[in-house]
Amino acid sequence: MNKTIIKSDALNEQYYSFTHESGLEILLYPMEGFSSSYALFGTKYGSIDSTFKTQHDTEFTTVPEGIAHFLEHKLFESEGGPEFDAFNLFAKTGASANAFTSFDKTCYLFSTTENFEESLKILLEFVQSPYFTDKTVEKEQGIIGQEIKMYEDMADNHVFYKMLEMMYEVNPVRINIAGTVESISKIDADLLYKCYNTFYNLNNMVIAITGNFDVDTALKIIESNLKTKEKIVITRGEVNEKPEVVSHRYEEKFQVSLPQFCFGYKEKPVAEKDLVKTNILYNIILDSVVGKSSELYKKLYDEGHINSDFGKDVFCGPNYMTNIFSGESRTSDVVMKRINDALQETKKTGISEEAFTRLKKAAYGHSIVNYNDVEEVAVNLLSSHFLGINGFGILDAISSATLEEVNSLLRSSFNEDYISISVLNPL
Amino acid sequence: MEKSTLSRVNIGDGISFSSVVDQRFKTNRISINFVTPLNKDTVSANAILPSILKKGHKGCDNFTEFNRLLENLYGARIESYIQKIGDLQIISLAITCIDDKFALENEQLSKKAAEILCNIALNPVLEDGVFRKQDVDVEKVSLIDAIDAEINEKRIYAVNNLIKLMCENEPYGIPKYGYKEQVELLDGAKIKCAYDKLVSTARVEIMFTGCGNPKLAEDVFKSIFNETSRNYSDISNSTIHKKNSDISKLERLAVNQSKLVLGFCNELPSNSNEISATKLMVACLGGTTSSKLFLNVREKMSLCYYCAARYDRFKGIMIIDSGVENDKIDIAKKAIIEQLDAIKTGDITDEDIKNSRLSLVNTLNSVYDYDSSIESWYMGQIISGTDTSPAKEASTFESITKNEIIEAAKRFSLDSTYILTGNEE
Repeated sequence: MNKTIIKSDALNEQYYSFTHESGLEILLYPMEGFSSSYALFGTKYGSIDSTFKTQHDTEFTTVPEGIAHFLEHKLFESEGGPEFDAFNLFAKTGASANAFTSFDKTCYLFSTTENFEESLKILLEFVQSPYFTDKTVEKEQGIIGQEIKMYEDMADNHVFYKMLEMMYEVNPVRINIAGTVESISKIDADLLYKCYNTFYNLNNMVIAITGNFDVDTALKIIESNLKTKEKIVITRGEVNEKPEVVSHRYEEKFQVSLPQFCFGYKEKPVAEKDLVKTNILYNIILDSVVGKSSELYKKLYDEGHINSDFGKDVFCGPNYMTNIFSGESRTSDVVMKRINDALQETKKTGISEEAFTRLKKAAYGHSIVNYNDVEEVAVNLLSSHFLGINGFGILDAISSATLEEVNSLLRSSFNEDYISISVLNPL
Repeated sequence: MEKSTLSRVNIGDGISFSSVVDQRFKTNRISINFVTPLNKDTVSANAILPSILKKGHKGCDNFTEFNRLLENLYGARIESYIQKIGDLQIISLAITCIDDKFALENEQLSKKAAEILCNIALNPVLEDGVFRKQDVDVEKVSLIDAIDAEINEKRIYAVNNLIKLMCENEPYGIPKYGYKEQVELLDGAKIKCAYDKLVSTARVEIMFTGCGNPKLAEDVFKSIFNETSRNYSDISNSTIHKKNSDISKLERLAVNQSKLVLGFCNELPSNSNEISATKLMVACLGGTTSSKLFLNVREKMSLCYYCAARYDRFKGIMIIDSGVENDKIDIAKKAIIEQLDAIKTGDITDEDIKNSRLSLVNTLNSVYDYDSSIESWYMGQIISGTDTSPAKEASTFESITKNEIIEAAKRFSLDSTYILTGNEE
């Protein structure tokens, strides 16, 4: 395989990238002196991928909500029985293993300070060895049903998803990653295999390894343990989402101590390769208008409209882009009005050179901090690759950001007709 | 030389400066921790301090300007938090900043970061000698909201309620943020009084973890503490919990999933070998995805989505908490206790023990890879008066025998049960 070396002068670090003939991308980032090695094997398949077809299909398939997450759970099971389940095998090496499903990807990981080679073999083997039967699917429905109920009791999770439902009409990002008790009851072994065979094709996957390991050893193990199949070309269903929101407001009574709110601006989605840069530019805007160093934040805080729970976020991915504000407040309408007023005003005046320079410096500092951490580096490598940029791309995007770009994005965003808010009030 | 070794010097009466220098990190993290006994009379006033102190310092008393200063320091982050370790309340402030070598214009970031932390902790913003009314009023509401907000995280809420129930008559049962009624009565003068007492009498532990030069930070703190009058006396160790006779409490809220929390007590103080055996036993019982609780109560019986055990060595308490279906609470409780009983009767394989040992060793060796876990580890060691590195702790598990694990299990008996469940239909 051809090796590409990607370097960062700012960090004085580098990593290695290989593309296997199967299409699998292999990203190896040794970090000298660390005790742990961290391996992340991921597929570009998440809860938003509910409609798809391959080059062999004439029609699109739509699958039940929550199936990507369901599949993640099932993959740990082995045809050989509980003794060969992935968690059991990792227990023998001492590695700490886990997995997660998000809106746009599913990843399987381990972290270990010993027995790296054995752990890597286990990871490669179990992710490439699906085994689903209707009996094992039924058992998992019980466990995941309880997981769903646990999330239903979480106020911050609930208020966020309700906001997404108000904002998006057809975009699958509005769907809870775990699905519902009802939707997962429609999942069967055949559907799981359909999803697996489509998305868990090496052509759609990445493995990223960071920390304490030898590059040549890791590469050899990966090459010897890949089950190469025909490359699958995936066509993901088009999302025809109108710019307008479904509804501006949702309210519900909930077991919370204080009202919780979540409101957002529905923005125009951008191409995947532009996501990282756009995320940085929006964060500068949000920090400038209502970050801790803004006059507005201090006023809202001192007047008791927000507390230290207040947060803002750029929530974005393939086909969705939202600027979100959330927190606890007895006066969430005041918070929303004052933030909106400030955004509309700033659209006219623009963000100042001083604020931009200061916030760009802070963004640079925050991104350097992420390279302290074997886990953060691995997740960054994998996520960046899925978005078409390299593992240092975020540093480059920050350096190249200009005030003109920030103000141009500001002027074309934050349309007050495209706001949705959800509020949970105490019982 | 062993990795990430701690260097500790005394810089005043009851004041220590500890550092771990490690070139792997790109940052420097400094924290100042005031360690004081948990006490119903002081807990609330102490709890409000970090959020008031972190807003600025003498000479930079405007919150907005202070945050702009931090942003110009490449986004240096201030944290303020309260911890409860055993019978102690720990009031903490911390700053994390990228190291000087990453500064784009050769700025001296680490020295500046140390000065900022020192100033917010020891040169607070005052008006007429007390904390400003506008700051106090806002933070009182914030703290009361934080106390009420405990209910928003049901799992943590349930565990905290078990501790309150189990340790009702001990300092450990005091909530770390204190009591609403007490917070309501606070004002700038009372908080200043609490602050002065803390600075004068608390044990002060300053921790530096990073790649830079800790001497810069050490000198900054030494200099300011030279000007600070102290009235320090040694703080006692936490006391081991005295057993209750199987008490329980049930609470009903509008929840979809019930929380079952069991508290087990090991009444007698343990020597260090017994503590190691207990840690290994708890891992076997419910500390990993190959533990008895995970494999049996969750996977085989499908009774819980999560079911985990953890051990508090300061109090000799083991807590098992689980998320269960509303109509399976009794069955789940029975199944959980059966797993502990199984270990007591020797129903545990050499393989189970080996796997749990490997998992613990892995976790311990990973401590070295994160500045926050290094700091957390050594703070725990300092509080317990021990000097054990993660590697040394890992080595103690090698010699623990199956019999010692069984004996460790036998030392625990059910003390208290807390159940959070849905409203009656």
